[in-house]
Amino acid sequence: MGLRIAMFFWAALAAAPAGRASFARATARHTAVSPQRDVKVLLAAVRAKVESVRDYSADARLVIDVSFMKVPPSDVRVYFKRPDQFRVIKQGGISILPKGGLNVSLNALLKEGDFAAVDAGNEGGLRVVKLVPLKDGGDIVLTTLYIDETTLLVRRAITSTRNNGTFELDLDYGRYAAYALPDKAEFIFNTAGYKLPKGLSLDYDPHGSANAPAPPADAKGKITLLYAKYVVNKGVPDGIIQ
Amino acid sequence: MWPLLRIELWKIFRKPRTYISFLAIAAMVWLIQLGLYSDGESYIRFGMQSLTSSFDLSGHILNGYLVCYIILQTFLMQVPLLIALVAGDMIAGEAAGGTLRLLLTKPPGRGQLLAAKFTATFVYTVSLLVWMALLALLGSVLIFGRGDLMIMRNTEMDLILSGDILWRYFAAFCFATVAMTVVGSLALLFSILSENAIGPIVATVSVVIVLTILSTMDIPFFDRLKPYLFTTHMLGWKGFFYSPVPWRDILRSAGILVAHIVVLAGVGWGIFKRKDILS
Repeated sequence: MGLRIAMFFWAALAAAPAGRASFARATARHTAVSPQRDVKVLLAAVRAKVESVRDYSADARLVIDVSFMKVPPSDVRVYFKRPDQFRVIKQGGISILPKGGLNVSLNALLKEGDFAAVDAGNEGGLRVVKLVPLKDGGDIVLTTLYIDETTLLVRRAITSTRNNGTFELDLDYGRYAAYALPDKAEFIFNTAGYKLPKGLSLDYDPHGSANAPAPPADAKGKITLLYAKYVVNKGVPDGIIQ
Repeated sequence: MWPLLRIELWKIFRKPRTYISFLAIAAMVWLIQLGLYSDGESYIRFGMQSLTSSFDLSGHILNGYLVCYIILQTFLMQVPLLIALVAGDMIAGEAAGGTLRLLLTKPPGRGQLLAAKFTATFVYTVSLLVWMALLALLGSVLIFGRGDLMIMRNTEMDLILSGDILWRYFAAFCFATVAMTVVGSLALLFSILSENAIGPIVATVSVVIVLTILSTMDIPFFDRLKPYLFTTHMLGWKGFFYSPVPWRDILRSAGILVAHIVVLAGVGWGIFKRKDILS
C-alpha cells in the first residue's frame, strides 16, 4: 500500500484530462510563475504542464538498491498511457517494481476537494507545498511537494503514511523537462517491512544462520529509473498496456 | 590399473540396479517438469508470495533455468541415496558373493583394487550427474525456454541475468560432483566394513539424512555444529547462484569436502589393507 501511494508523482506527471492539452503545451514552454503566487494556482499550473503528455515510451535503465534484493542493473522499456497506465518491460527478462506504485495518479492527489494545500514557504530555492487529506481514514497523512516555480516541475515529494512509513521521490529533469518527464527518478522507501520469511528454502550457510547480521530497523531501499530517450505522444502499441 | 577399472565399470554397468538410478532420476525430472508445465504459475505464485505482496514482477519467471534449479533443490536427498546404492555394494557385494577373496589372490594388490573401485564409483557418480544435468538443464531449457533466474532465499532474493547463468550451472555441477564423491567415499568405507550390501547402503543414507536434518534445522544449538558437518558444505553448489558469489566460502567448503574424501578413502584403505578377508 505504501509503495502504491508513494510513487504517484512519477506517473502523475502525465496524468491529466485530455481536454487541457492545449494549455499544457503552452505552459510546457517554460512558462514562468511569479514566485509567491497562490499554491492552488501553482498546483493547477504544475498539473496543466503534465497534461501535454498523452502517452510515452522510453528506454531506461532500472537500478534496484534494496538490501534483500540482489538485482543487477538492467535495460528496460517503459510505457505510459494516460490517465495512469504504466508498464515496465524487460525484453526476455524479469522486471521488478514497487507494487502498483506507478499506477497512482498525482491528478487524484491534486484534485480539488480531496486535499488541502498549505503553503510551507521556500526551501533551497523550491516552493514547499504540503497536501493534507480532507477525508479521514486514508493511509496518507501528509504529502510534501518541493516545486520549482520557474519550471513548474515537482523536484521532490515526501509522503507520510499511517501504516507504511515515509516514502520519498526525487526527480531530476533534463532534456524532457518541457514535458515534465524526468531523466532520473529515485524512489526511496523503508525496507524494514519487506523482509522475506525464513524457512522457504535450504540455503547455503556454512557459518550457521546465527552469524547472519540482522538488518537495521531504519534500512532504506532505493529504486532508480534512468531514462535515456522518450518518445512522447506517438502512441503506445496495442497490447502493451492492457 | 586401467584393466581393473574397466572390469569394475563393467561390473557396475551390467547390473540392472545401476540403471534404476538413471531411470529414477529421469522419472523424477520428468514428473517435476510435467507438474510445472501444467501448473507452474501457481507454484511460482506460492513460492514468491512474500515478494509479490510488495512488488510487481513481470517477465518470463518460470523458465528452464528456474525449473532446473527447482529440480536440483528437490534432489538434495535423493541423489546421495542413488550414489550409495552402487558405492555401498562395491566391496560388500563382492564379499557377499564370495568373490572378494578370489579377487585378492590375483597379482594386483589390495591398493590397486580399492583404487579401481573408488575410481569406478567416481565415474558412476559423474555419469549420474551428467545424466541429471542433461535432463534437468537441457531438457528444461528446451521445454520452458531461457530467461533471467530469480531465486528466493530465506532472507534475500537474487536475480541473475540470463547471459550470466550457464557458467554457474557448470560450476554447480562440478561442485555437486565433489559433494557426491564424499557420499560415495562414505558408502565405500561402510562397504569395506560390511559383509553384505544392504548394510552400507542403509548406513550411508542414514548418516546423510541425520546430518542433513542437523544442517538444515534452524535451531541455535545446531548452528554451532553446522560448520563441521559435510552436509552443510554439500549445499555449496547453491553459492554459485548468490550475488555476489561467496567464493571464499565455496572454496572452503570444497576444501572441506575434498578433505572428507581423503580421510574417508584413507581410513577405508587402512582398514581394507589389514582386513582379514574370509569370503
